[in-house]
Amino acid sequence: MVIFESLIHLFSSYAPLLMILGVMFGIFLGAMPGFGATLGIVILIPFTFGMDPALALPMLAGVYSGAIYGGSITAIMVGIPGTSAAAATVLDGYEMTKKGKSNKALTTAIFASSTGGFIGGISLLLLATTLSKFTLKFGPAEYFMLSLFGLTIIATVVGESITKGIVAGLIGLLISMVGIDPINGQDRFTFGQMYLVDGFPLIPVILALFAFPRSLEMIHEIFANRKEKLTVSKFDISGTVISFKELKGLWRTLIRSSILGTFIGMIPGAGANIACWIGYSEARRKSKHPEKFGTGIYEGVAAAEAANNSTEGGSLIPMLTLSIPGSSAAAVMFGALMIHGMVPGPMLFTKYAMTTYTYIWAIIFNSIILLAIGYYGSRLFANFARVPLMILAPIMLLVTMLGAFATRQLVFDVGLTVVLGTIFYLFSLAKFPMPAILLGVILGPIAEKGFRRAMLISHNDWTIFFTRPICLIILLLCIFSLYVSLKIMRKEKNN
Amino acid sequence: MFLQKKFNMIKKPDLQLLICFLICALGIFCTVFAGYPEKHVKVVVHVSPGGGTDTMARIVLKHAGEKLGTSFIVENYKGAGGQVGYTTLAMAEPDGYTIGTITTMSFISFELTRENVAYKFESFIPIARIVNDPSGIFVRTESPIQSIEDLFERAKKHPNRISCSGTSIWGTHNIHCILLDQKCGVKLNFIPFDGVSEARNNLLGGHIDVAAGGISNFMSLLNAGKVRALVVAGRSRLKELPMVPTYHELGYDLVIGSDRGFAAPEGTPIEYVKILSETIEQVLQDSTFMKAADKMLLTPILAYLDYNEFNEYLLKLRNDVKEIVDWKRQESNK
Repeated sequence: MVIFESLIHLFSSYAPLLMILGVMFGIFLGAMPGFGATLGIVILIPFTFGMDPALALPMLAGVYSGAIYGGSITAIMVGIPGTSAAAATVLDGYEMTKKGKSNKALTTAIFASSTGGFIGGISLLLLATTLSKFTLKFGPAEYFMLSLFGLTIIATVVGESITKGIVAGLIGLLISMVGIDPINGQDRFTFGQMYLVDGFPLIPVILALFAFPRSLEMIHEIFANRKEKLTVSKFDISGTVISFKELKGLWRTLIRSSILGTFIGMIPGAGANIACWIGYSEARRKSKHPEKFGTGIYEGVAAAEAANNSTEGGSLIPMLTLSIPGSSAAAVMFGALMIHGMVPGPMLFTKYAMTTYTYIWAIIFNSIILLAIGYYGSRLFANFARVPLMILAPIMLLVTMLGAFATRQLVFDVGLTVVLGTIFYLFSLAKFPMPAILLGVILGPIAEKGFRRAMLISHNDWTIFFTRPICLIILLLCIFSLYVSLKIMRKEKNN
Repeated sequence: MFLQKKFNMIKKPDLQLLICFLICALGIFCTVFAGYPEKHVKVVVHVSPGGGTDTMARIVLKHAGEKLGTSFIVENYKGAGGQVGYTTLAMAEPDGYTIGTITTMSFISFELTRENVAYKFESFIPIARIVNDPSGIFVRTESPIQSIEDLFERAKKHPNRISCSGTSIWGTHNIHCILLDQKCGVKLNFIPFDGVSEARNNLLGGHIDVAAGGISNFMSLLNAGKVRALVVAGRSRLKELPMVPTYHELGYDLVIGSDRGFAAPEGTPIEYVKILSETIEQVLQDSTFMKAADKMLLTPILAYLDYNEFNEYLLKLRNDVKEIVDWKRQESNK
């Protein structure tokens, strides 16, 4: 049976060593804001040209797993998501660091990431063909409803004022409008700049929303408290790691987030960025003490991290079975496969079955490797909090600028990050929630394209959003989700 | 030693001088023409790594580099649908050491349809065409539409009702649908998507009725029996799809496809262009290359044109597309 032969094949070659290297490289890149999984894979692809795909693909898979976890390190330690998938981890992770519980947060993240990656990989292995049929059912109308559901999550991350949250979300939507109109091809708000034709690039926007303002905040803190030698957390950071008992209590959250992440990863264009929020908000909804989310509880970290790592397996389901990449990292893997002569499609499971299954097993085992490296590494990473702010802040700023440059190798993007970052810093001073803006930016294009295409296809018959079965299901989920969020908020207000 | 002795035996100094001069001249002559390419050549690829054009460029130029004894270094300049890459290529030094990939329709259409485009058609010298991917119309196997004639009938009965997926506005497949309107009177409801895989996915999922796309992108689905091709907009039937008619057979002059090839910035010495063009021709006939191309399912669409032929082809295409764009804009304003 190819499935088992490939497992033996995986472990009888250099692949495990390369997987370990891949995971370490991935963690490093993921932790640097602005760099990330996609970039990591792109950098390594030329080195893999001459390699046997059964060695190259496991290594690249390791980079992805490592990077998605790595993003949570900076998210927890300094409040800056290293990758966009870690944006939800900031909410509780950073709060935990401020309370001196960074070790617990980091170890929760590693267990959650590992579980997520494992479940995503197993789903890929066992259910790929079955689940791929699910992917196809998502047409433009369904995408619109999905993005609507995503937008209701803004209510979760609102913070103090609902009004500010909604305004922030709308600002995000506005920002996402820049670029070429997806339907009639006209330039919108590009002001003649060729580099804006594709819209604001996502990484600089994320840096401008989180990294840049946070760095400025750190600098502000330094100047405000000149006498003290400041670090991120005033408490002793050699705090406890997460205990086995606490982990056991998390099993529901972990399973739920992992499954959600796998499904969302399967929907092309959704990906880890959205999965982390849905995992987080669902965990909050189902929790016995939802008002504690956002104050620094490990459940929040777990929910976000399990969801984003499971998208690795999830996004490969449509990629391997239908040649439709589920995320941008999957799209780069698509290219990696093509370069090694493996055209994604039915042949992957017939002619190239051995290599394909080796790759899938690698994803599963990478989650175990990640657990080992991440758990023992976390003590190392926790030392971030010991670094005086005076050193940390400029380093963060430098890494931010590098990260802004990294994606498109354009100085334009660096300038963009600074300009947008300054504007967002002012917004954050006024207590507008940055995650809400981010959700608007990510979901805006999905919502617009879905809506306009659906209306074009149905000839402006808007009942399409109520009559198609999946649309109806998601619509009911939206209403339910909003209702529960409002209830939670009312409870919070009364306390 | 021997030569030196002989040289010193020539007593007349003028003769010695003449021989020196001739040797130098020979040397200079050799450097000027026998050297190209002497160092590595940069390739500006206008799309992201891993896609069809990028992989094609890498593999063709890998073999070309072996033949010429140099290396072609691919750099991706993606963005704005290819405009970033084309602009970079147009601005590059025309010394023969920067070339780039071009694909239609983006190469032709941007200056006709966008503002602030920093280059013109004349800013480039085409080097060679590698691929011509004819556009086709496809349906799911279960679709009630049986043939292209069936599609025409249904569309004429219900104009603008049948949804057709494609890639970007003014891209090859959008132009295909505009031509269907202009030349055959068939009005389909064109829905642009963000790329071939989205367009394909929506067809397979039953969200749209037909898809207009490149043969190469639908080949694997055709072979797997998931879709049927109604028509191929080529000059003659493809040998891989002998049962699929062309528009020509139906009496319409509708030939459209995506071309992929290489170009150099205007001002590049024509001898260098010629060398590249001829080397590429040799690569496409090489058996090792053909094996690699087969693996990537490239073989059905290989269609070499040398620099002259490609230039003429593109000029004609540019004029045709300009006419189509003007016609469509007029129609939309009615």
